[in-house]
Amino acid sequence: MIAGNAILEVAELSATFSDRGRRREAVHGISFSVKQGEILGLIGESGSGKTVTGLSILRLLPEHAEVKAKSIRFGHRDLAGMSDSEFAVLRGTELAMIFQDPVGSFNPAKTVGWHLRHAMARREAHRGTAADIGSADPIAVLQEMGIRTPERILDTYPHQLSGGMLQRVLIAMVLALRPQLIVADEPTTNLDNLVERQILDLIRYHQRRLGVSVLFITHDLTIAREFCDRIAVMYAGEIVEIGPASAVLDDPQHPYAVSLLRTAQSLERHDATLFELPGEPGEDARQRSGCRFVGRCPSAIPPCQTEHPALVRVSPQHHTRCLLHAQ
Amino acid sequence: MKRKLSDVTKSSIIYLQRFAGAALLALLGAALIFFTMHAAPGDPALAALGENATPQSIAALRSRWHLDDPVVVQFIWWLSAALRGQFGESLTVASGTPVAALIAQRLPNTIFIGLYALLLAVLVSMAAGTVAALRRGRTTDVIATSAAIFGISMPDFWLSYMLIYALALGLGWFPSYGFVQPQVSIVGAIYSGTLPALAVAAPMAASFTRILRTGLIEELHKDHVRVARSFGYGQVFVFVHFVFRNALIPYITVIGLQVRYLFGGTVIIERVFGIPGVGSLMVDAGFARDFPVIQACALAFLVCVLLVNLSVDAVCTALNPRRAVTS
Amino acid sequence: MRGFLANRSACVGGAITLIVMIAIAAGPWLSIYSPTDMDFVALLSPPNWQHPFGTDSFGRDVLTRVLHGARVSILVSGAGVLLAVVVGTAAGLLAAHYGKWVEAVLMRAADLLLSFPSFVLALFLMVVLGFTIANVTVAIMLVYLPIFARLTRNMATLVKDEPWVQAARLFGQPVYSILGREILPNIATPILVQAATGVAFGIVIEAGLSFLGLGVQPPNPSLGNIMADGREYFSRAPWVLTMTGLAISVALLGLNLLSDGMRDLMDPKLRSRI
Repeated sequence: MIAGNAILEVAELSATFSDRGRRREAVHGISFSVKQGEILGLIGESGSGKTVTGLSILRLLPEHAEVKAKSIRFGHRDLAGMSDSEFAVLRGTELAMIFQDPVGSFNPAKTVGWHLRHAMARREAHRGTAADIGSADPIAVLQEMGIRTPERILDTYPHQLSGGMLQRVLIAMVLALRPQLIVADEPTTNLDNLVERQILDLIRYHQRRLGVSVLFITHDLTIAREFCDRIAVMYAGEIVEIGPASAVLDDPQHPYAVSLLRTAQSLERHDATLFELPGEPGEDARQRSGCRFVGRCPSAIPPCQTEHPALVRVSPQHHTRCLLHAQ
Repeated sequence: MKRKLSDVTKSSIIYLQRFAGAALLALLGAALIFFTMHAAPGDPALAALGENATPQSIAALRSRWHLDDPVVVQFIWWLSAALRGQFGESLTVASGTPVAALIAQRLPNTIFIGLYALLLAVLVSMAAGTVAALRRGRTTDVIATSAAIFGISMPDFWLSYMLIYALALGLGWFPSYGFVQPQVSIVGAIYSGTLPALAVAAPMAASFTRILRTGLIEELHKDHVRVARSFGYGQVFVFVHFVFRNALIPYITVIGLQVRYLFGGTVIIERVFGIPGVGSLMVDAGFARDFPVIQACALAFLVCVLLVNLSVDAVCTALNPRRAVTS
Repeated sequence: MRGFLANRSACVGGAITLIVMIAIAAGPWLSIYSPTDMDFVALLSPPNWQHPFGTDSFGRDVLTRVLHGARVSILVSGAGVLLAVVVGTAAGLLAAHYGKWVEAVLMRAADLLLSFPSFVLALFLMVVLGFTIANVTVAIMLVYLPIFARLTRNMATLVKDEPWVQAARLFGQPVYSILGREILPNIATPILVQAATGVAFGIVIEAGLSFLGLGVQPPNPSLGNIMADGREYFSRAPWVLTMTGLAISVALLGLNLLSDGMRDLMDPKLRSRI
């Protein structure tokens, strides 16, 4: 795997929701990049803003959400400045997304074959200069995903198939689009473990083969370690640590990342009492003027209450947002 | 939609089952009508011959009509005649005329108005419901929803008079009374039938609009719509195939349920506008205590409702892949 | 309660319904006219300060007649729906509890009744039973009976497998107690909402029957026969029919808004989403 230039460079992305006059900032000025051909993992608890980040990139948030960014560089274009109609051309051609619930992702009134054929037609209509757009035969496409009875599957309706099978088809559809970047939002969370393994292997195999870049959103550390090249950890709408997977997971610097690691280790060791970080990321974490993690941080020092930490370099490629590491 | 032979056989069996069920209901309904009618006070023979008839002629008529036999036997006589298309003769409304002929004369008019009204209601509600759902919360939606609520709050015969006052007496666009039968002139029928059809259609259009609007709003928020957008499919395409198509099922179901009110509404409207239909026949026969006619009219309405329900069921099954196979 | 006030529908609907109820309850006493007072000087006069709804061909004050007629209509419709609720709910509960052939028979019977257009059924019953007020009540009851039977049975079937019902069964609670104390209170709200709409449409059915001459007979005022009267001289004096119908529409509007609002409140899905 050769990581080249960045295919996606996000600078200061924010997403705010207004609900009857109340504003809630889900994502607070985050910046990150995804290199060409790599898998960047975005880890966080529910409510950390990771899903909203993924949806923002594809402009799939509901109307009452406000998305702002200094720039979102994708290839040689800046997505942030594009109008909705200009951007719409990119969806399904350069940018694509895999969602968490495979069952809900299908139109219940149409067969699986209908879905796949339309995805393939989308690619066919926007070939551009792409050389390898894959087979034009839906059956071959399904076979590539390890599906052994593609003819039967094509004629079935979504409600007749299992979650694992549907996710395979969805991945087939997304890959058939030959996008440059795929945002995968917890694609295996709803599946059981054995199926989860198979799906992840499938994604990784085809990702390497085609050189697609992936923004992989998950809350599962174990998967992230195996699967991702680099990892960004989110907390309360901010990125608190970002770096190569091995660095972030084996040698975390930010206290939150440290506690994540300790929890995972505690689970693996089958401790009698699991290690647990007290408290929850409440709404007020976002309101704070200082560090957002200070309420739960075991290593907090007085400046943490008032000074908002910036991302600092711990080692080349590895950054953390913590005053303890600011030199 | 490709179908296999076993699927086709399965659906045929289901349709046959439903038809048999409807036939059974028709039979039970006929029995109910008959036995209830029998409980009514009054002597049909006396009503037919008038008060000056001799006791002998009354007795002769009674024996000819099997009026002294046990009720169940009378029902069987009536049923066997009915299956042959003979429903007796009118006693008082049109003495001597075969009831079947009376109904045959009038049924087309009732059905014409009914279908005309249904068509108007569907067209208006599709437009209004779609606009209201897409412009949810804004002025157009508020107007449409308020109109819909008012629509189901009006007595339909009151609306007829309002329409007559405004459009017939006031603007002179339509006749205020009388009906040109479709056999005589289709254009005439459409013209003279517009106000009655509007009156019957209004409350239906109102409830159809509300159901469609609710259904569309619900579908718009479903996951698969967002997935479709992520694939970059056009807005119209997504709306038609992912949103509208799935909202059709509850919509059509409600149409089926409302059909009862459709036929009930025509009864009074026929009286108001002087339309020679089965409804006005039933009212006249009711005043004149013309039992054979009343029975036949009630039965005619029952059969109409059952037929429409069968059709609506068939359409719903065709639209909903889940019902087609199980049921 | 705060939710109720926040819901526009329920508020407006509730307000209108309340005003209408008060008008009907107090109006006839407060009115200076009686429904049969004839003022030959002011025959067929359009709405004015003395007669807000105008007068009819006998010089009777239309507003007073409407208020009296509304009482009759609501009583008739209300009684009919009440009976339908009592019998229908009982049938539905039994069907849900015993299942199998009891349920099959009861639901088939309900389906049969439901296969008749409501008004046709009502009309048919009036012809058979005779054109009196009491029979209108019976007709309305029979029209709504199957609706409540099916609604109750559907809801009871959903609830009957809940843990607390099974616990009651295990404790040996008698059937009527289980049905009455465990199941019924939990499904009461949708039944009440349906009852409200039922009374509303029952009024329309009664008005329709009386309009045709098959219901409440003159000179007793009923909303239907006031309109039947008004129809005779409609082109000359449209206000009699118009105002009466308008009054009905407003009252129904209130009831519909109210039951809409209540349905919205009961639906947990209608919270704001991201």
